Amino acid sequence: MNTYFYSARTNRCEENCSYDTCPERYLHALQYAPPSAIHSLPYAALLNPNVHSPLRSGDLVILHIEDHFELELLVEKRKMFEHCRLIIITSKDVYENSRRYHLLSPRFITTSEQSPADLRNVVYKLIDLSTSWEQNSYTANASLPQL
Amino acid sequence: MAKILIIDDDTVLCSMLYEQMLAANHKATMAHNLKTGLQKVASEAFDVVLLDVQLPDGNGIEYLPQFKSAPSEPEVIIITGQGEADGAERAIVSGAWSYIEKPHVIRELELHLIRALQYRQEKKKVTKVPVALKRDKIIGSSKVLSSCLDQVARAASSDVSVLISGETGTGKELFAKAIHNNSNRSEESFVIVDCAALPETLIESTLFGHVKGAFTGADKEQDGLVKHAHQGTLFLDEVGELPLNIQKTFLRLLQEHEYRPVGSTRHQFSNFRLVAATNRDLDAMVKEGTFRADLLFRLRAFSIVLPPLKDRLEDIRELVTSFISTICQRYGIESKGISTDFIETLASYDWPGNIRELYQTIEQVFTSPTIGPTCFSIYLPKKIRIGQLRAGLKNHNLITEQSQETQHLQPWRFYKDECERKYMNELRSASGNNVNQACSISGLSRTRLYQLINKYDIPFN
Repeated sequence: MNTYFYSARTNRCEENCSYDTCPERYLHALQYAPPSAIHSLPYAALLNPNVHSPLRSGDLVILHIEDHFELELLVEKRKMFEHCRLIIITSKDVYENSRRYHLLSPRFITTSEQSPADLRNVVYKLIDLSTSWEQNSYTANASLPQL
Repeated sequence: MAKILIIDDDTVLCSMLYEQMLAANHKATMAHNLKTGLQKVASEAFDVVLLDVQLPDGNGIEYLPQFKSAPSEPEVIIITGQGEADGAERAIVSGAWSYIEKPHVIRELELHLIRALQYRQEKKKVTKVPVALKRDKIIGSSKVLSSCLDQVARAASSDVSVLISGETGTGKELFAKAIHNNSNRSEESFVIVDCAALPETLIESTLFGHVKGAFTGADKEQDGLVKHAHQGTLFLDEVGELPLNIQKTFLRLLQEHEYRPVGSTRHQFSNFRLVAATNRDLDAMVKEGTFRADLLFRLRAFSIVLPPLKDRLEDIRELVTSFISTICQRYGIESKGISTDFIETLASYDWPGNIRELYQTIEQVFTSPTIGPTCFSIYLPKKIRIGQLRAGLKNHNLITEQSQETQHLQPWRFYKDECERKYMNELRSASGNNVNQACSISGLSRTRLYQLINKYDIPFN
């Protein structure tokens, strides 16, 4: 099982970026999550039709969704997440004013106003659960697929 | 007017029941042994069969399934000389409608018959499950899977709580979604709560939400998933992982559909439909004291048990074909041929991880750069190929053992006669040669006892 962090943004942080809602904040909080490294996918990589998804069955994907537009992009592409487990980080506005993120079947949803420690605790737990299941599984030694 | 078949070797009682049925405006037929009874039920349609237990040519309860599976599928009411708790239990487990003791049969039969006939009438009116069930990614056409899908259709037609049990990787979430998608809540949200993933400190606020200041870090009010599931379906995955204190709160939520966000003094209401899933033995957890019996009772209003993959191996080909199509499309891989030994090897493995493990195996094989245009079993993991070899050796040994055993096995009726003769000799000793005592000890009617005495020539007083 691999763990990925993904944001639909097409650019890295702009000058007026607010750290409180920036995906980099969560990625930074998760970089201290042993035993499995969090692999950061390039921005908008999963939306590029020329690039085949690196995601494999059982992978844990942490999705950062800033606004309703990004949410709709990911909902449209939800088939690619079918065999993965999703965690969603979203803005308060999206959390309160939409329910469409449930179409992605996330295992946990947090908002940009919640503590990243909550996110980290859930990620640890999910990684632990997968590791114990995969003790005797064929896929335990799967290498990281290349984009 | 109903058609009743009366099967009893007591000709006097048979005639009395026959007259009673005619007086109640039913059509009745009599038989005095199992063979005639079975012939009649196979050739004519009956609504109810009144079946004696101790018959000259066998025990009525043992043949109950054959009566039930007759073309007209009659209800069977067992009538017997002496009531036994074990016999009653066996009758009900075998599918009998009810069980009446002979001394009371004339008085009690009418009520049992009315109920059985009413049930039969209503059964005819119940519509079949809808043919076009939305089953999305639930793949397979085995009998056991079809039975589960019938249960999905039944669950979807009502709002009762559903508990889906099954080993890990059997598709509990898929079935939960199928229930939601086929229900009248399909337009609303399907909200997942992964009880195993949530730390205990987070469960309550995730489920019920919180108000500002409820705990450190709660700077603003936030809705919980129970509110999100209003009008929709709330799916509790791994419900066995819920801590006991949360189970108590959740039970109240199920009973009243009311809850309080963390830190709030006001109750809120949510009309959700609950589907729960577990791979744990919740009955055992209740005995250990780690799961509440009252909550389990509520969750299990409707229960679906999903079979492990090893119990539906006939679906493997269909599953593999579907997975290959999905994987090739997703990863832009050219379609490949599948050799017979590939499927045979997959079908001989136990699949402890069930369908999830099967999918991951196919994914690993098809995304491997070394695979050629045809999939042979050699591309499969060693663990699975070894499993197939072991299964082959085991079958070979089993066949050898069975052929040795069957050489020493006598025909059933000789074995049965031997047992009956032995029992009658022991009964004679235990009853002191006294017929009344023998009837009392064995539970046999006098008629049946005399038949056996004559059959085996056993001297009784």
